[in-house]
Amino acid sequence: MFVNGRSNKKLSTSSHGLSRPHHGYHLVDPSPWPALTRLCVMWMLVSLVLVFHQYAGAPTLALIAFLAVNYSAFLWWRDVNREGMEGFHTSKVKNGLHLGMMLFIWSERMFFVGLLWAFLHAALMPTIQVGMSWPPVGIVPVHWTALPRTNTILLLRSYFTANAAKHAMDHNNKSLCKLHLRTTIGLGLLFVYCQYLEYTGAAFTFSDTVFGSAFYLTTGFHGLHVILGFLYLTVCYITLNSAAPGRCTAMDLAILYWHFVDVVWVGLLVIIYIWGCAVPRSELEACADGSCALYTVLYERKSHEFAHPTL
Amino acid sequence: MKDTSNKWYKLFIRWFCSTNAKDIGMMYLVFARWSGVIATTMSLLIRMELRSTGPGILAGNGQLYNVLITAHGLLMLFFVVMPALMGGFGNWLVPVMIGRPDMAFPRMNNISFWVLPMGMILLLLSALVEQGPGVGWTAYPPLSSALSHSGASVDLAIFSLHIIGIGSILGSINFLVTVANMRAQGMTLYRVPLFVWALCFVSILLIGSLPVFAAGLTMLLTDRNFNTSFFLPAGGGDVVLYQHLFWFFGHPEVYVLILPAFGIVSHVLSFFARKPVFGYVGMVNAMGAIAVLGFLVWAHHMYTVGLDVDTRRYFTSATMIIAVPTGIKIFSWLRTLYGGSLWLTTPMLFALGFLVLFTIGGLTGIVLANAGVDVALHDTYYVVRHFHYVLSMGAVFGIFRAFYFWVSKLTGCQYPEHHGQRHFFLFFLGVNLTFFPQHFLGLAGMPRRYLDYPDAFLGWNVVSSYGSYLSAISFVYFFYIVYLTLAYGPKCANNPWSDQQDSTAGGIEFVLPSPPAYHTFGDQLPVIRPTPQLV
Repeated sequence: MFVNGRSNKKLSTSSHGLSRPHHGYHLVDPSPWPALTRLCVMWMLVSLVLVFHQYAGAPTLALIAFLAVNYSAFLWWRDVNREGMEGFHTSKVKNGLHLGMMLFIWSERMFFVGLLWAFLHAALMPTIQVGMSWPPVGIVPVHWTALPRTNTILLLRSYFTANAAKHAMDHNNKSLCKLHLRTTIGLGLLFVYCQYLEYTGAAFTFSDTVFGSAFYLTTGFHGLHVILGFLYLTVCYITLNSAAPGRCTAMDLAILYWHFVDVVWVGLLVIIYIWGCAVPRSELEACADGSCALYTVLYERKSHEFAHPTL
Repeated sequence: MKDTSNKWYKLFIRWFCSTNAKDIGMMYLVFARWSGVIATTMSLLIRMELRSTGPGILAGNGQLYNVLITAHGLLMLFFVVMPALMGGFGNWLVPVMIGRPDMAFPRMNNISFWVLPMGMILLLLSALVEQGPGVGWTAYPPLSSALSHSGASVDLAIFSLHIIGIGSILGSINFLVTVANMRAQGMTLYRVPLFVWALCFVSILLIGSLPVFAAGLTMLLTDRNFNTSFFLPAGGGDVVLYQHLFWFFGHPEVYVLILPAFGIVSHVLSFFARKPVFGYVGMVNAMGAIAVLGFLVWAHHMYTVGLDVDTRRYFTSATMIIAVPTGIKIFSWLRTLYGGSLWLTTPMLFALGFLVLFTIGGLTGIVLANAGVDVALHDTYYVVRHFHYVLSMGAVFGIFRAFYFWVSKLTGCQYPEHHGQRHFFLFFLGVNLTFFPQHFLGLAGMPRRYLDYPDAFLGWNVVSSYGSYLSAISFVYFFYIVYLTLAYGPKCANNPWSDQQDSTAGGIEFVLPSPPAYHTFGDQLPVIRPTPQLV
């Protein structure tokens, strides 16, 4: 696909538009993009190591590499899109793409299982070094009724609008589909903005005990997936004119991915924000005399909100 | 305009930009062979060092010794066995066996392969900068954290594992989608060849376990570079968490290595016993059970970290239960042989050798599964010997078996039979001589991952080292056989074994030309029908 008109019959038989094969599968032409992508990925990883070890100029190198990875991925997916428009995506191929996306989401889900495993491992057995309490002594956690609740509403709302966009497309109502996609992307952007507010306003950092580490790594990776999700939806929005009911695999998969991001958020909300950030009542009472950091922060706000929901 | 007749351009298009499962499979195989050379050389250096007490060939450099064992382990697992069995033979044979021209996502197939050389470069770079990653293939903190390995080498090794992990996940997605979506008409799930089934279960294992490992590695990376404290007790972290995350991946990984070999042994045994494999449905479900149980036994690698008794009891029981599906497979293979008209070719010898040696390795696995016994045997040569019997004589025998069985199909050239058999006996003797004495060393308490040992262990270590020299010689001999095959091998019929065998026997691959067309079944897709019952 990358060199128009190139036709090497020995290498790729019957995969060109004019002579269609007698089967519903897509025999892809040789493509330079995977090779380019992995070279850029390698470049990015090496420059990241240089960044970690404070080599001069390494951040610029890493930034250019990051852009190069994105550009090569863009070229790759542009080919996929063009092949779709040329009619290579038969129902069999679409079915395969759906299955592939579901398996990819499954692997992503296991990644978050790993991250939440770390959080739970630390939270269920807080060590003596952090005062055998969770959140660790001295940590003022984020409260779930503040920004996380807003974020939940935003994401659940976007779950609905994403489905509505799919539904509108099924009924060939493109303008409605566009409206819903716009709303979904906007809600995603708002979510990321709220995460930004939460991060900048939080009273602990990435380095503040295992709580900070697990909190930021897990929610940060989720935020990254939200960004990927709305970028994906944006691409679908831009290319919506060429889509039609039954010919919008990219959008279907983007919405599937978006649902995955939502579902992971529910897990994060319950495990990290509601359960993992709740301060035990005993600890609240212990610092009622104003002797610790929690007192000043918690009691000057609405302290009862910080009580453990199960107690 | 581009000159498309230029040979460099053709080379670039055909191999670099390849979207053909057969070409990619061939690249996997070639890559696995050459990383096999590096990994074998490392094992040879290890055995040379252990040939005598006191400073040997490594001049007492313990860090170098640790770097060698780390690289040997990682190379053998991720750059030899997985590329050869899963990438190589999988890419070649899965589309053919299910009757389809190619894999589901050919471009993704390309990147799944080409990240491997990248990972290899990163891994070798990591050994070349600063003091190298002397952390073992498990890379446990605190040895792998910034305190003990402050340089860039462990970071490079982590990124190497990240990138090949991504490649393996993409490859697994590709296999699963190919088998789920592209089977030939009439090929119902219980007519799928066992090798294809094996790769499906391997893919499920990888998709479920690798991301957890990726998460653990990412935590290690942030611990090293961003001052987090996942595995740092001072910040409330726990080094045991890393072991959980690692072995949640690490244990499924060992089934990833052995399940394709299970699939291949089923094909080879039934082909050369000239009988259908016994208990096909049981074989499939046994592999499924191994895959499911493989996720539930990870902490049997961690009996000595201070798990409570109930946890150890659970992991002991769950680990023992894996012996049940494995036993089903072993006995089904024996029943496949029973009453068959055996034809002792090289692949058949490798299959029979596998049956015996894998069983021995599996039985010591049951010994080690006991949490109580393991306290004495943990991290001794008994463990080293156990996993070398199941991997070096299970998975690597699988590679050779598959090579000898299918090389004629893949290349159209048959190997020289007498050379093949000599290679088998040489290799069989070599690996047994290497690893059998390690039973005694392990039971006597010799710990693994040390470059020196008390004089009392000298005798069996000498035997073991000479065994490894022998197996290295047999490996060189194998390269000579590959050369003979490709340079002088006779051209093959559709069924390369047809002069002594009914040409319709065997799988779908044996009705195709040798080698098959560039895109098999490109013009006409096959339809699978059940064979009429003969008996």
